[in-house]
Amino acid sequence: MELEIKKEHFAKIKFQKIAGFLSFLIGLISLAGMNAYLLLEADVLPDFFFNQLPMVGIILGIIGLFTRKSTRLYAWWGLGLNIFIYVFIFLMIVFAWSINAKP
Amino acid sequence: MKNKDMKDRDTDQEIYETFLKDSMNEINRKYSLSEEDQQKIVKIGKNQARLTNIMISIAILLLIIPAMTLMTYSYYGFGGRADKLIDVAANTIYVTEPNMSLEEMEIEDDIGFFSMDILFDVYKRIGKEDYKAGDYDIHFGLDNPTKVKKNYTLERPLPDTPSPETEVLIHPDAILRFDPKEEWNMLSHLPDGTVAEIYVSFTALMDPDKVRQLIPKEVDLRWLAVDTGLEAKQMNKEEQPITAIGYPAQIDSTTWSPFNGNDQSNEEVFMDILSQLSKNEEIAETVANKNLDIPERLKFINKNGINVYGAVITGPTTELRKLQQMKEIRAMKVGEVKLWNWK
Repeated sequence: MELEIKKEHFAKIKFQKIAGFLSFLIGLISLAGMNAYLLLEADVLPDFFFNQLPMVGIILGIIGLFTRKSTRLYAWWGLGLNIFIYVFIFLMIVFAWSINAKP
Repeated sequence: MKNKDMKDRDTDQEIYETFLKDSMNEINRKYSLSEEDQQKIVKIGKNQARLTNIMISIAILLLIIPAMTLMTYSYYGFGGRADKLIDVAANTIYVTEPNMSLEEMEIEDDIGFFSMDILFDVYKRIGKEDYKAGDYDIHFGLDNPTKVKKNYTLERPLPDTPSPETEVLIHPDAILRFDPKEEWNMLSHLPDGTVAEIYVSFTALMDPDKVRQLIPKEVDLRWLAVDTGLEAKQMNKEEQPITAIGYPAQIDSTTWSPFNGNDQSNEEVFMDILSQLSKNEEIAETVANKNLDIPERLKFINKNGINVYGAVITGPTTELRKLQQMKEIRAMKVGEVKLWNWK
């Protein structure tokens, strides 16, 4: 019984440790997608790179922040990058709406 | 007594040292790492640091383009900078290109890195229909127009750079450099079932309202060329050729056109546009690709009022031919001709 609880505890710690790293990795993948979108001047915003992936990244980043035994650097970076993508989209919509506005 | 105290102290120290030695031995035995384990830990630490560095570097590199894009959008967005540039470019067309208009709602912008392209089509009214006369692509580096691509699809486009030899609207005091008889002859040989656009030059300067009364109802007055003090010489102070400036003669029913007649007359809008262009002369001159000398010409108009020396008229060719009998018309040049569309 005690061994099982210990095992579960270690698995939780391991997941928290990996979650931060995954969040950072997802943030990088989403950013790469955003760069491709901007450089290719595509018309359609890929929902996967700009919505679904950053959302997963934010959730993993928050989980990664709860780790106590290892560094939270990856989790902070992951959170920052994924939130930046949402902030970027919001600001782009605001600016695009204000420049040469048409009814 | 003293000796006994000394002896006790020595014994205590010995006990303490033995205890310390035992503890250290135990710690070393329990927690010591082999050389191999130590190397493994250092290697893991090194790899972790390397991975962190690589990931942070990639993140910074990937942030450059989005950050630059955001900076560019904020540059053009804040304070309506892009809208002002679009407005200046559009208004330049209205006052420097005779009988040319544009659909303000169809103006497109394309923002790149610290640059913006404005793309729009221009139209000419020939008869009762607007025909696409060409398209413009104006490239701005920040707020400086660096490249203007004009692509005219007209059969008889006006020259891109003005010169007294190619001028179509002639001031009463300027030398006539073409034979109007040839132009009237051309018009008389056009089929009756066509509509045409002609550039007429008057024998004297006239008030815009007088011109409106003078032109028969069977044709449409489209654009008025205004005397700005330089047209008689057709040169500016630096002896560079200048181009005609003027404004649409009729109310533009398009809501977004500055000449929509909602609040101001076309003459008032024309004056407002000239003041706007005088503050943005560099942009206006690059867009028009002509010497405009707006501040000087605006000063002249403010002093002397709006006097017209030429106009662009469109209508059925048969009706346009009749204008030859008008003594107020000094010269005429044929512009575009289209199939019948007069309603």
